[in-house]
Amino acid sequence: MDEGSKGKAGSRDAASEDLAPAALFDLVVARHTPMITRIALAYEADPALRRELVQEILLAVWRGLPRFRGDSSLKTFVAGIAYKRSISHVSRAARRPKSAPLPDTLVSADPLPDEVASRNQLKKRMLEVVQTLPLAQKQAIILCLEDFTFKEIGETMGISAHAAQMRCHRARAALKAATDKLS
Amino acid sequence: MMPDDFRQYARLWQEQIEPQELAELQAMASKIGRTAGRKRLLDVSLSLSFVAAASFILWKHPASLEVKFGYFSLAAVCLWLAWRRHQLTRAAQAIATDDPRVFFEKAIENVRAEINLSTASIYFAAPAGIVTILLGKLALGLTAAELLRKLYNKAPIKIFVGTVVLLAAIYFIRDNIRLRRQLRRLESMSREWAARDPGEEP
Repeated sequence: MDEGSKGKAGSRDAASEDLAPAALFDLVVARHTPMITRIALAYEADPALRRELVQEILLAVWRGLPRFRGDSSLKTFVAGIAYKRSISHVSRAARRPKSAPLPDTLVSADPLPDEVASRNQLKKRMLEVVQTLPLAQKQAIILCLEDFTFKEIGETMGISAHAAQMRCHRARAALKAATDKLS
Repeated sequence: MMPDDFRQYARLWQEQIEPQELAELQAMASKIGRTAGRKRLLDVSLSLSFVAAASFILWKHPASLEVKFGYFSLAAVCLWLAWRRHQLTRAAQAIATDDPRVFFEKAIENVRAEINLSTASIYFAAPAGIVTILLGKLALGLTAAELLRKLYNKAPIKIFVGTVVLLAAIYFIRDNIRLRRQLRRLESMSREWAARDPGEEP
């Protein structure tokens, strides 16, 4: 990820601290719903329960925004809430199945060109691997895949940037090893 | 920062959500604020309606001091339970913005408080149900002796009261088991989170 472009994104986020919570929430919905949904996807495979989880995260963000002071970027603030709500969700869902069949849109049954089929397989495999990683590595890899810097990952997880970097390297190795098995 | 192949992974990851699902979620998100406000209003309205309805019945059927005392004690306990649940919900919401370490500590503390409340509910719900029915009958003019005699002779009432007590007990026991399981999972995740990889600085 280009550090320069991240710096620009960070300053745009920093400017958001001047907005009222309602306007800030609109900004979160417009800009960060895809990230929230993907974080939820890593913790909940069942589509209906995932929708519930996304709703819970958005509600927690809506309630938490008045506490946003701009000390970190809005993206980091939202990711932190999404992470904690996902943990709460998983802790409540003790007897629910850990995984569910993936939607057809990810792995289509229709005849597809080889490249698209292999891309879909890779997506599916990657998601399965992410869902089964240990908690600390899972969080690190999700944030890496979301283009967070190590500093931002450290802020979100409450660890140093160096520790975040180490966790990311281990998680990347695990992800690569698992996806390489496919090819 | 990222090797080229990892950037490919990142691109694949960011394609995971279908545009249609995303559009639906964004539409749902715009209603979140209104939905939360309505839910809070409903919670408060239900509690107040219960107190208002019970007060109206007592006013329309003047009862003895013991019945009034019993009713107000029950109402106070019900309101305290509702307030405590509200407090726990607020606490659960607030910890979403805390530091991860504090989050785990508070989340565990919160579930422990919920378990205590649920355990208290197990002991409270069944007797409270019976006492509410008895107080209601007494408020309608029966003496305690008459009421006990009637209850002893009437099988349907005994079955009804028994069913209510059993259902309440099942509900609270299931809730208690669920909370204890949740506590174990949270404690395990907290340990997993706190475990540092070799070479990781504290």
